[in-house]
Amino acid sequence: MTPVQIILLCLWAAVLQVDVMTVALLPSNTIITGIFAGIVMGNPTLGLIVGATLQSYALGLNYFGGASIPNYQVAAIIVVALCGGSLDNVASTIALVGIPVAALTVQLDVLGRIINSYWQHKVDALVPTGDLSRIMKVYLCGIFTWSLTRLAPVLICLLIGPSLVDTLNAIMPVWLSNGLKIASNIFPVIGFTILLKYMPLKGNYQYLIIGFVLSAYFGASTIAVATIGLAIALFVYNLENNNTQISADSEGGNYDE
Amino acid sequence: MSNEVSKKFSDKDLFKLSFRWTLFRSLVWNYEKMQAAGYLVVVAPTLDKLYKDDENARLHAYEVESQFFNCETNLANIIFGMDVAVQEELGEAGLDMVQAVKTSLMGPFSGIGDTLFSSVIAVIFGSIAVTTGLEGNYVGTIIWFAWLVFMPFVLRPWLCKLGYQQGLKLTTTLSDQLSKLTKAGSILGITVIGSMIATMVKVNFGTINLMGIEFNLQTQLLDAIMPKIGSALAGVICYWFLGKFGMKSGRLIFAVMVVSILLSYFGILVV
Repeated sequence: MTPVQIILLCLWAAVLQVDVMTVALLPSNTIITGIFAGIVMGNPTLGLIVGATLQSYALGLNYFGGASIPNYQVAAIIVVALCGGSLDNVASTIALVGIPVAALTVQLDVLGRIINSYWQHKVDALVPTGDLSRIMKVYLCGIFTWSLTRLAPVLICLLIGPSLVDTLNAIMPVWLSNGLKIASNIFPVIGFTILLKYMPLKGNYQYLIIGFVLSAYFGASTIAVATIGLAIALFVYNLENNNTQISADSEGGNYDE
Repeated sequence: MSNEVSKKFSDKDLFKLSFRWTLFRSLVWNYEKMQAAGYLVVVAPTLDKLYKDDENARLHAYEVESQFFNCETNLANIIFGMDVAVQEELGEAGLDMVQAVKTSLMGPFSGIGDTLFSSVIAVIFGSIAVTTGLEGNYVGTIIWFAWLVFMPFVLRPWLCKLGYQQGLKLTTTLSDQLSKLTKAGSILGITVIGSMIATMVKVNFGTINLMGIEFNLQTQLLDAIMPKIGSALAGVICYWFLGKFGMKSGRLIFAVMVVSILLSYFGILVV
Protein backbone atom coordinates (compact mmCIF):
# COMPACT_ATOMS: atom_id res chain seq x y z
CA MET A 1 0.00 0.00 0.00
CA THR A 2 1.29 3.47 -0.87
CA PRO A 3 1.20 6.30 1.70
CA VAL A 4 -1.33 8.13 -0.51
CA GLN A 5 -3.67 5.15 -0.39
CA ILE A 6 -3.35 4.91 3.40
CA ILE A 7 -4.03 8.66 3.79
CA LEU A 8 -7.12 8.55 1.52
CA LEU A 9 -8.57 5.52 3.31
CA CYS A 10 -7.87 7.07 6.72
CA LEU A 11 -9.56 10.33 5.71
CA TRP A 12 -12.63 8.36 4.65
CA ALA A 13 -12.56 6.47 7.96
CA ALA A 14 -12.31 9.76 9.85
CA VAL A 15 -15.48 11.22 8.31
CA LEU A 16 -17.36 7.91 8.24
CA GLN A 17 -19.09 8.01 11.60
CA VAL A 18 -19.49 11.78 11.48
CA ASP A 19 -21.59 11.14 8.36
CA VAL A 20 -23.59 8.43 10.16
CA MET A 21 -24.39 10.92 12.92
CA THR A 22 -25.30 13.77 10.56
CA VAL A 23 -26.18 13.75 6.86
CA ALA A 24 -25.88 9.98 6.33
CA LEU A 25 -25.13 10.34 2.65
CA LEU A 26 -21.87 8.72 1.51
CA PRO A 27 -19.33 7.15 3.92
CA SER A 28 -22.10 6.03 6.26
CA ASN A 29 -23.15 3.54 3.59
CA THR A 30 -21.18 0.29 3.70
CA ILE A 31 -21.45 -0.44 -0.05
CA ILE A 32 -20.43 3.09 -1.07
CA THR A 33 -17.52 2.89 1.38
CA GLY A 34 -16.49 -0.43 -0.21
CA ILE A 35 -16.62 1.12 -3.69
CA PHE A 36 -14.51 4.10 -2.54
CA ALA A 37 -11.92 1.80 -0.98
CA GLY A 38 -11.98 -0.26 -4.18
CA ILE A 39 -11.30 2.85 -6.29
CA VAL A 40 -8.39 3.80 -4.02
CA MET A 41 -6.96 0.28 -4.24
CA GLY A 42 -7.49 0.16 -8.02
CA ASN A 43 -10.37 -2.33 -8.15
CA PRO A 44 -13.82 -0.74 -7.72
CA THR A 45 -15.79 -3.90 -8.49
CA LEU A 46 -13.92 -5.83 -5.79
CA GLY A 47 -14.82 -2.98 -3.42
CA LEU A 48 -18.46 -3.20 -4.49
CA ILE A 49 -18.59 -6.94 -3.77
CA VAL A 50 -16.85 -6.58 -0.39
CA GLY A 51 -19.18 -3.71 0.48
CA ALA A 52 -22.27 -5.69 -0.54
CA THR A 53 -21.13 -8.75 1.44
CA LEU A 54 -20.60 -6.68 4.58
CA GLN A 55 -23.81 -4.71 3.96
CA SER A 56 -25.70 -8.01 4.04
CA TYR A 57 -24.56 -8.35 7.69
CA ALA A 58 -25.63 -4.79 8.39
CA LEU A 59 -29.13 -4.97 6.86
CA GLY A 60 -31.53 -4.25 9.65
CA LEU A 61 -28.87 -3.10 12.07
CA ASN A 62 -29.48 0.48 13.05
CA TYR A 63 -28.69 2.84 15.88
CA PHE A 64 -32.24 2.43 17.22
CA GLY A 65 -32.63 4.74 20.20
CA GLY A 66 -28.86 4.89 20.57
CA ALA A 67 -28.06 1.18 20.58
CA SER A 68 -24.50 0.39 19.49
CA ILE A 69 -23.93 -1.76 16.42
CA PRO A 70 -20.82 -3.00 14.58
CA ASN A 71 -19.29 -0.59 12.06
CA TYR A 72 -19.19 -2.70 8.94
CA GLN A 73 -18.06 0.40 7.02
CA VAL A 74 -14.80 0.28 8.99
CA ALA A 75 -14.51 -3.43 8.18
CA ALA A 76 -15.15 -2.69 4.47
CA ILE A 77 -12.19 -0.30 4.26
CA ILE A 78 -9.87 -2.74 6.02
CA VAL A 79 -10.98 -5.81 4.05
CA VAL A 80 -10.65 -4.10 0.65
CA ALA A 81 -7.22 -2.77 1.63
CA LEU A 82 -5.88 -6.05 2.98
CA CYS A 83 -7.34 -8.69 0.66
CA GLY A 84 -4.59 -8.18 -1.89
CA GLY A 85 -6.91 -7.28 -4.74
CA SER A 86 -8.16 -10.83 -5.16
CA LEU A 87 -11.77 -12.02 -4.81
CA ASP A 88 -10.51 -15.41 -3.61
CA ASN A 89 -9.10 -13.80 -0.46
CA VAL A 90 -12.25 -11.85 0.41
CA ALA A 91 -14.02 -14.54 2.48
CA SER A 92 -11.00 -15.30 4.65
CA THR A 93 -10.07 -11.61 5.07
CA ILE A 94 -13.62 -10.86 6.19
CA ALA A 95 -13.57 -13.79 8.63
CA LEU A 96 -10.11 -13.16 10.06
CA VAL A 97 -9.96 -9.35 10.19
CA GLY A 98 -13.28 -7.80 9.13
CA ILE A 99 -15.54 -9.56 11.60
CA PRO A 100 -13.30 -9.17 14.69
CA VAL A 101 -12.69 -5.48 13.92
CA ALA A 102 -16.42 -4.85 13.33
CA ALA A 103 -17.21 -6.53 16.67
CA LEU A 104 -14.64 -4.31 18.37
CA THR A 105 -16.23 -1.15 16.97
CA VAL A 106 -19.34 -1.86 19.06
CA GLN A 107 -17.22 -1.12 22.14
CA LEU A 108 -15.67 1.93 20.48
CA ASP A 109 -19.17 3.25 19.78
CA VAL A 110 -20.15 2.89 23.44
CA LEU A 111 -16.91 4.69 24.37
CA GLY A 112 -17.78 7.54 22.00
CA ARG A 113 -21.23 7.97 23.48
CA ILE A 114 -19.72 8.09 26.98
CA ILE A 115 -17.09 10.66 25.94
CA ASN A 116 -19.87 12.82 24.50
CA SER A 117 -21.28 13.34 28.01
CA TYR A 118 -18.31 15.64 28.53
CA TRP A 119 -19.33 17.88 25.59
CA GLN A 120 -22.96 17.72 26.73
CA HIS A 121 -21.98 19.11 30.16
CA LYS A 122 -19.98 21.89 28.53
CA VAL A 123 -22.97 22.81 26.34
CA ASP A 124 -25.26 22.75 29.38
CA ALA A 125 -22.91 25.13 31.19
CA LEU A 126 -23.10 27.57 28.27
CA VAL A 127 -26.89 27.47 27.78
CA PRO A 128 -27.64 30.19 30.42
CA THR A 129 -25.31 32.61 28.56
CA GLY A 130 -27.34 32.21 25.38
CA ASP A 131 -24.13 32.56 23.35
CA LEU A 132 -24.81 30.43 20.27
CA SER A 133 -21.38 30.78 18.69
CA ARG A 134 -19.64 29.50 21.84
CA ILE A 135 -22.17 26.67 22.14
CA MET A 136 -21.50 25.72 18.51
CA LYS A 137 -17.74 25.61 19.10
CA VAL A 138 -18.20 23.08 21.91
CA TYR A 139 -20.89 21.19 20.03
CA LEU A 140 -18.69 20.66 17.00
CA CYS A 141 -16.12 18.93 19.22
CA GLY A 142 -18.44 15.94 18.90
CA ILE A 143 -16.81 15.50 15.47
CA PHE A 144 -13.59 14.38 17.19
CA THR A 145 -15.45 11.73 19.18
CA TRP A 146 -16.83 10.04 16.08
CA SER A 147 -13.78 10.65 13.95
CA LEU A 148 -11.12 9.24 16.26
CA THR A 149 -13.07 6.18 17.42
CA ARG A 150 -13.32 4.97 13.78
CA LEU A 151 -9.96 6.21 12.55
CA ALA A 152 -8.05 4.25 15.21
CA PRO A 153 -8.87 0.67 14.08
CA VAL A 154 -8.44 1.52 10.38
CA LEU A 155 -5.09 3.22 10.91
CA ILE A 156 -3.73 0.34 12.99
CA CYS A 157 -4.80 -2.34 10.50
CA LEU A 158 -3.53 -0.41 7.47
CA LEU A 159 -0.14 0.25 9.09
CA ILE A 160 0.31 -3.45 9.80
CA GLY A 161 -0.72 -4.12 6.21
CA PRO A 162 -1.63 -7.31 4.31
CA SER A 163 0.79 -9.38 6.40
CA LEU A 164 -1.87 -9.20 9.14
CA VAL A 165 -4.07 -11.69 7.25
CA ASP A 166 -1.19 -14.06 6.49
CA THR A 167 -0.01 -14.02 10.10
CA LEU A 168 -3.48 -14.70 11.45
CA ASN A 169 -3.93 -17.48 8.89
CA ALA A 170 -0.67 -19.10 9.96
CA ILE A 171 -1.42 -18.92 13.69
CA MET A 172 -5.06 -19.99 13.65
CA PRO A 173 -6.06 -23.65 13.51
CA VAL A 174 -8.33 -24.55 10.59
CA TRP A 175 -11.42 -25.20 12.76
CA LEU A 176 -11.09 -21.70 14.23
CA SER A 177 -10.77 -19.84 10.94
CA ASN A 178 -13.54 -22.05 9.51
CA GLY A 179 -15.64 -21.23 12.57
CA LEU A 180 -15.26 -17.50 11.83
CA LYS A 181 -16.21 -18.09 8.18
CA ILE A 182 -19.29 -20.04 9.29
CA ALA A 183 -20.15 -17.19 11.64
CA SER A 184 -19.86 -14.65 8.83
CA ASN A 185 -22.27 -16.73 6.73
CA ILE A 186 -24.78 -16.68 9.59
CA PHE A 187 -24.26 -12.98 10.43
CA PRO A 188 -27.00 -11.52 8.17
CA VAL A 189 -29.58 -13.25 10.35
CA ILE A 190 -28.61 -11.06 13.31
CA GLY A 191 -29.78 -7.93 11.55
CA PHE A 192 -32.96 -9.62 10.34
CA THR A 193 -33.96 -10.86 13.80
CA ILE A 194 -33.25 -7.49 15.41
CA LEU A 195 -35.39 -5.93 12.72
CA LEU A 196 -38.18 -8.38 13.43
CA LYS A 197 -38.01 -7.35 17.10
CA TYR A 198 -38.75 -3.77 16.00
CA MET A 199 -41.58 -4.74 13.70
CA PRO A 200 -45.07 -5.85 14.63
CA LEU A 201 -44.29 -9.53 14.06
CA LYS A 202 -47.15 -10.64 16.25
CA GLY A 203 -50.07 -11.42 13.96
CA ASN A 204 -47.84 -11.03 10.90
CA TYR A 205 -45.92 -14.35 10.95
CA GLN A 206 -47.69 -15.44 7.77
CA TYR A 207 -45.84 -12.84 5.66
CA LEU A 208 -42.49 -14.05 6.98
CA ILE A 209 -43.40 -17.57 5.88
CA ILE A 210 -44.58 -16.39 2.45
CA GLY A 211 -41.30 -14.55 1.84
CA PHE A 212 -39.18 -17.44 3.09
CA VAL A 213 -40.94 -20.11 1.05
CA LEU A 214 -40.92 -18.03 -2.14
CA SER A 215 -37.14 -17.76 -1.97
CA ALA A 216 -36.24 -21.11 -0.38
CA TYR A 217 -38.40 -23.30 -2.63
CA PHE A 218 -38.84 -21.23 -5.77
CA GLY A 219 -35.61 -19.22 -5.71
CA ALA A 220 -37.51 -15.93 -6.07
CA SER A 221 -35.25 -12.85 -6.13
CA THR A 222 -35.57 -10.08 -3.54
CA ILE A 223 -37.19 -7.75 -6.07
CA ALA A 224 -39.79 -10.39 -6.97
CA VAL A 225 -40.60 -11.01 -3.30
CA ALA A 226 -40.69 -7.26 -2.57
CA THR A 227 -43.22 -6.81 -5.38
CA ILE A 228 -45.44 -9.60 -4.03
CA GLY A 229 -45.06 -8.09 -0.54
CA LEU A 230 -46.11 -4.71 -1.92
CA ALA A 231 -49.21 -6.27 -3.48
CA ILE A 232 -50.21 -7.84 -0.15
CA ALA A 233 -49.46 -4.58 1.70
CA LEU A 234 -51.66 -2.58 -0.70
CA PHE A 235 -54.45 -5.13 -0.33
CA VAL A 236 -54.35 -4.90 3.47
CA TYR A 237 -54.03 -1.08 3.39
CA ASN A 238 -57.11 -0.73 1.21
CA LEU A 239 -59.00 -3.18 3.39
CA GLU A 240 -58.07 -1.14 6.50
CA ASN A 241 -59.08 2.12 4.83
CA ASN A 242 -62.46 0.69 3.86
CA ASN A 243 -62.98 -0.62 7.36
CA THR A 244 -62.30 2.74 9.00
CA GLN A 245 -64.56 4.38 6.45
CA ILE A 246 -67.39 2.03 7.40
CA SER A 247 -66.82 2.32 11.15
CA ALA A 248 -66.47 6.10 10.86
CA ASP A 249 -69.79 6.24 9.03
CA SER A 250 -71.58 4.06 11.51
CA GLU A 251 -70.04 5.50 14.67
CA GLY A 252 -70.13 9.11 13.59
CA GLY A 253 -66.39 9.67 13.24
CA ASN A 254 -65.48 8.30 16.62
CA TYR A 255 -61.69 7.92 16.75
CA ASP A 256 -60.58 4.63 18.10
CA GLU A 257 -56.91 3.67 18.37
CA MET B 1 -55.62 34.42 13.75
CA SER B 2 -52.98 31.79 13.32
CA ASN B 3 -52.96 32.38 9.57
CA GLU B 4 -52.04 35.99 10.12
CA VAL B 5 -49.09 35.27 12.36
CA SER B 6 -47.81 32.18 10.59
CA LYS B 7 -46.12 33.98 7.76
CA LYS B 8 -42.87 34.95 9.34
CA PHE B 9 -41.03 31.81 8.29
CA SER B 10 -40.65 31.20 4.59
CA ASP B 11 -40.09 27.84 2.90
CA LYS B 12 -36.44 28.77 2.69
CA ASP B 13 -36.25 29.31 6.46
CA LEU B 14 -37.88 25.96 7.08
CA PHE B 15 -35.52 24.25 4.64
CA LYS B 16 -32.63 25.78 6.54
CA LEU B 17 -34.04 24.58 9.86
CA SER B 18 -34.54 21.09 8.52
CA PHE B 19 -31.12 20.97 6.91
CA ARG B 20 -29.49 22.21 10.10
CA TRP B 21 -30.99 19.13 11.78
CA THR B 22 -29.59 16.89 9.04
CA LEU B 23 -26.21 18.56 9.46
CA PHE B 24 -25.81 18.56 13.24
CA ARG B 25 -28.33 16.18 14.78
CA SER B 26 -26.33 13.50 16.65
CA LEU B 27 -22.81 14.93 16.93
CA VAL B 28 -22.98 15.08 20.73
CA TRP B 29 -25.25 12.04 21.21
CA ASN B 30 -24.72 10.79 24.77
CA TYR B 31 -26.45 8.46 27.21
CA GLU B 32 -27.58 11.26 29.54
CA LYS B 33 -29.55 13.64 27.31
CA MET B 34 -29.15 11.93 23.92
CA GLN B 35 -29.88 14.55 21.21
CA ALA B 36 -30.68 17.39 23.64
CA ALA B 37 -27.70 19.52 22.62
CA GLY B 38 -28.36 18.69 18.98
CA TYR B 39 -31.95 19.93 19.23
CA LEU B 40 -30.77 23.17 20.84
CA VAL B 41 -28.15 24.07 18.23
CA VAL B 42 -30.59 23.28 15.42
CA VAL B 43 -33.41 25.46 16.74
CA ALA B 44 -31.24 28.20 18.31
CA PRO B 45 -31.00 30.53 15.25
CA THR B 46 -34.81 30.36 14.98
CA LEU B 47 -35.10 31.26 18.68
CA ASP B 48 -32.71 34.18 18.19
CA LYS B 49 -34.99 35.43 15.42
CA LEU B 50 -38.21 34.91 17.39
CA TYR B 51 -36.99 36.63 20.57
CA LYS B 52 -34.63 39.23 19.20
CA ASP B 53 -36.33 41.96 21.24
CA ASP B 54 -36.65 40.04 24.50
CA GLU B 55 -33.38 38.72 25.93
CA ASN B 56 -34.98 37.06 28.99
CA ALA B 57 -37.46 35.18 26.83
CA ARG B 58 -34.65 34.08 24.54
CA LEU B 59 -32.64 32.65 27.47
CA HIS B 60 -35.76 30.95 28.78
CA ALA B 61 -36.32 29.38 25.36
CA TYR B 62 -32.68 28.19 25.23
CA GLU B 63 -33.17 26.48 28.57
CA VAL B 64 -36.41 24.75 27.54
CA GLU B 65 -35.01 23.66 24.18
CA SER B 66 -31.90 22.08 25.72
CA GLN B 67 -33.78 19.32 27.53
CA PHE B 68 -33.71 15.60 26.79
CA PHE B 69 -34.56 14.71 23.21
CA ASN B 70 -34.24 11.65 20.99
CA CYS B 71 -36.22 11.04 17.83
CA GLU B 72 -36.05 9.34 14.47
CA THR B 73 -34.26 11.60 11.98
CA ASN B 74 -37.07 12.10 9.44
CA LEU B 75 -40.17 12.45 11.60
CA ALA B 76 -38.31 14.71 14.06
CA ASN B 77 -38.75 17.39 11.40
CA ILE B 78 -42.48 17.49 12.08
CA ILE B 79 -41.68 18.30 15.73
CA PHE B 80 -39.36 21.12 14.65
CA GLY B 81 -42.08 22.56 12.44
CA MET B 82 -44.68 22.39 15.22
CA ASP B 83 -42.22 23.84 17.74
CA VAL B 84 -41.70 26.93 15.58
CA ALA B 85 -45.42 27.27 14.83
CA VAL B 86 -46.36 27.17 18.52
CA GLN B 87 -43.71 29.69 19.60
CA GLU B 88 -44.53 32.01 16.75
CA GLU B 89 -48.19 32.07 17.76
CA LEU B 90 -47.87 32.10 21.55
CA GLY B 91 -44.39 33.46 22.15
CA GLU B 92 -42.68 32.73 25.45
CA ALA B 93 -46.00 31.58 26.90
CA GLY B 94 -45.92 28.70 24.41
CA LEU B 95 -42.72 27.20 25.79
CA ASP B 96 -44.56 24.86 28.17
CA MET B 97 -46.55 23.57 25.25
CA VAL B 98 -43.39 23.17 23.17
CA GLN B 99 -41.92 21.04 25.93
CA ALA B 100 -45.08 18.94 26.07
CA VAL B 101 -45.17 18.51 22.29
CA LYS B 102 -41.53 17.40 22.17
CA THR B 103 -41.83 14.92 25.03
CA SER B 104 -45.10 13.44 23.94
CA LEU B 105 -44.26 13.08 20.23
CA MET B 106 -40.63 11.95 20.19
CA GLY B 107 -41.50 8.45 21.44
CA PRO B 108 -44.32 7.59 19.04
CA PHE B 109 -42.53 9.28 16.12
CA SER B 110 -39.40 7.24 16.84
CA GLY B 111 -41.46 4.06 16.94
CA ILE B 112 -43.16 4.78 13.62
CA GLY B 113 -40.03 6.25 12.00
CA ASP B 114 -37.77 3.40 13.04
CA THR B 115 -40.21 0.91 11.59
CA LEU B 116 -40.98 2.80 8.41
CA PHE B 117 -37.66 4.43 7.47
CA SER B 118 -34.89 2.63 9.37
CA SER B 119 -36.43 -0.81 8.95
CA VAL B 120 -38.81 -1.33 6.04
CA ILE B 121 -37.46 1.18 3.52
CA ALA B 122 -33.80 0.74 4.46
CA VAL B 123 -34.09 -3.03 4.18
CA ILE B 124 -35.80 -2.92 0.79
CA PHE B 125 -33.27 -0.51 -0.76
CA GLY B 126 -30.43 -2.27 1.08
CA SER B 127 -31.37 -5.78 0.00
CA ILE B 128 -31.69 -4.76 -3.65
CA ALA B 129 -28.30 -3.03 -3.45
CA VAL B 130 -26.75 -6.10 -1.78
CA THR B 131 -28.14 -8.67 -4.25
CA THR B 132 -27.12 -6.64 -7.30
CA GLY B 133 -23.82 -5.62 -5.69
CA LEU B 134 -22.78 -9.22 -5.01
CA GLU B 135 -23.01 -9.77 -8.78
CA GLY B 136 -20.74 -6.78 -9.40
CA ASN B 137 -23.64 -4.58 -10.53
CA TYR B 138 -23.84 -0.94 -9.37
CA VAL B 139 -27.53 -0.33 -10.18
CA GLY B 140 -28.96 -1.23 -6.75
CA THR B 141 -26.45 1.00 -4.99
CA ILE B 142 -27.28 3.93 -7.28
CA ILE B 143 -31.01 3.53 -6.57
CA TRP B 144 -30.30 3.44 -2.82
CA PHE B 145 -28.10 6.54 -3.11
CA ALA B 146 -30.95 8.40 -4.84
CA TRP B 147 -33.12 7.66 -1.80
CA LEU B 148 -30.34 8.82 0.55
CA VAL B 149 -30.29 12.14 -1.35
CA PHE B 150 -34.08 12.40 -1.41
CA MET B 151 -34.44 12.23 2.38
CA PRO B 152 -32.37 15.26 3.49
CA PHE B 153 -33.19 17.47 0.50
CA VAL B 154 -36.87 16.73 -0.14
CA LEU B 155 -38.55 14.55 2.47
CA ARG B 156 -37.29 16.21 5.67
CA PRO B 157 -37.89 19.83 4.54
CA TRP B 158 -41.39 18.75 3.45
CA LEU B 159 -42.10 17.15 6.84
CA CYS B 160 -40.83 20.28 8.61
CA LYS B 161 -43.12 22.46 6.48
CA LEU B 162 -46.02 20.12 7.20
CA GLY B 163 -45.45 20.44 10.96
CA TYR B 164 -45.18 24.23 10.68
CA GLN B 165 -48.30 24.76 8.56
CA GLN B 166 -50.56 22.30 10.30
CA GLY B 167 -49.29 22.94 13.83
CA LEU B 168 -50.82 21.01 16.67
CA LYS B 169 -53.92 19.89 14.78
CA LEU B 170 -51.65 17.61 12.77
CA THR B 171 -51.13 15.20 15.65
CA THR B 172 -54.56 13.58 15.44
CA THR B 173 -54.86 13.24 11.67
CA LEU B 174 -51.24 12.32 11.09
CA SER B 175 -50.84 9.63 13.70
CA ASP B 176 -53.84 7.82 12.23
CA GLN B 177 -52.45 7.98 8.69
CA LEU B 178 -48.93 7.07 9.79
CA SER B 179 -50.02 4.05 11.77
CA LYS B 180 -51.91 2.70 8.75
CA LEU B 181 -48.90 3.33 6.55
CA THR B 182 -46.62 1.67 9.10
CA LYS B 183 -48.86 -1.38 9.23
CA ALA B 184 -48.85 -1.79 5.45
CA GLY B 185 -45.12 -1.08 5.33
CA SER B 186 -44.46 -3.68 7.98
CA ILE B 187 -46.16 -6.35 5.88
CA LEU B 188 -43.91 -5.52 2.96
CA GLY B 189 -40.84 -5.44 5.22
CA ILE B 190 -41.59 -8.72 6.95
CA THR B 191 -42.17 -10.49 3.60
CA VAL B 192 -38.81 -9.25 2.33
CA ILE B 193 -37.06 -10.31 5.54
CA GLY B 194 -38.49 -13.81 5.11
CA SER B 195 -37.00 -13.93 1.63
CA MET B 196 -33.65 -12.60 2.79
CA ILE B 197 -33.35 -15.16 5.56
CA ALA B 198 -33.61 -17.79 2.83
CA THR B 199 -31.21 -16.13 0.37
CA MET B 200 -28.53 -14.44 2.48
CA VAL B 201 -28.06 -16.67 5.51
CA LYS B 202 -25.97 -19.75 4.77
CA VAL B 203 -25.83 -22.67 7.19
CA ASN B 204 -24.17 -25.91 6.06
CA PHE B 205 -24.22 -28.98 8.24
CA GLY B 206 -21.39 -31.49 8.03
CA THR B 207 -20.96 -35.23 8.26
CA ILE B 208 -21.04 -36.84 11.67
CA ASN B 209 -19.93 -40.31 12.67
CA LEU B 210 -22.62 -42.28 14.48
CA MET B 211 -21.21 -45.58 15.80
CA GLY B 212 -19.11 -46.15 12.72
CA ILE B 213 -21.75 -44.96 10.25
CA GLU B 214 -21.07 -41.79 8.30
CA PHE B 215 -24.14 -39.62 8.33
CA ASN B 216 -24.38 -36.39 6.39
CA LEU B 217 -26.73 -34.11 8.30
CA GLN B 218 -27.23 -31.75 5.38
CA THR B 219 -27.95 -34.05 2.42
CA GLN B 220 -29.33 -37.06 4.25
CA LEU B 221 -31.53 -35.32 6.79
CA LEU B 222 -32.20 -31.58 6.44
CA ASP B 223 -32.43 -31.21 2.66
CA ALA B 224 -35.07 -33.93 2.73
CA ILE B 225 -37.23 -31.90 5.12
CA MET B 226 -37.02 -28.45 3.55
CA PRO B 227 -34.48 -26.40 1.64
CA LYS B 228 -32.70 -23.70 3.69
CA ILE B 229 -34.05 -25.11 6.94
CA GLY B 230 -30.71 -24.28 8.60
CA SER B 231 -31.24 -20.58 7.85
CA ALA B 232 -34.74 -20.69 9.29
CA LEU B 233 -33.40 -22.46 12.38
CA ALA B 234 -30.68 -19.82 12.84
CA GLY B 235 -33.38 -17.13 12.60
CA VAL B 236 -35.59 -18.78 15.21
CA ILE B 237 -32.68 -19.32 17.64
CA CYS B 238 -31.40 -15.74 17.28
CA TYR B 239 -34.90 -14.33 17.73
CA TRP B 240 -35.31 -16.39 20.88
CA PHE B 241 -31.88 -15.28 22.12
CA LEU B 242 -32.80 -11.60 21.66
CA GLY B 243 -35.95 -12.05 23.72
CA LYS B 244 -34.08 -13.95 26.40
CA PHE B 245 -30.90 -11.97 26.88
CA GLY B 246 -31.90 -8.45 25.93
CA MET B 247 -31.88 -6.67 22.59
CA LYS B 248 -28.14 -6.26 22.28
CA SER B 249 -26.75 -6.85 18.80
CA GLY B 250 -23.22 -6.83 20.25
CA ARG B 251 -24.00 -9.75 22.54
CA LEU B 252 -25.68 -11.69 19.77
CA ILE B 253 -22.69 -11.22 17.46
CA PHE B 254 -20.33 -12.69 20.05
CA ALA B 255 -22.74 -15.53 20.77
CA VAL B 256 -22.94 -16.41 17.05
CA MET B 257 -19.15 -16.32 16.80
CA VAL B 258 -18.63 -18.60 19.82
CA VAL B 259 -21.32 -21.09 18.78
CA SER B 260 -20.03 -21.19 15.18
CA ILE B 261 -16.48 -21.87 16.33
CA LEU B 262 -17.65 -24.63 18.69
CA LEU B 263 -19.81 -26.29 16.04
CA SER B 264 -16.95 -25.96 13.55
CA TYR B 265 -14.62 -27.71 16.02
CA PHE B 266 -16.98 -30.69 16.29
CA GLY B 267 -17.59 -30.72 12.54
CA ILE B 268 -21.34 -30.21 12.90
CA LEU B 269 -21.22 -27.04 10.79
CA VAL B 270 -18.95 -26.68 7.78
CA VAL B 271 -18.06 -23.72 5.54
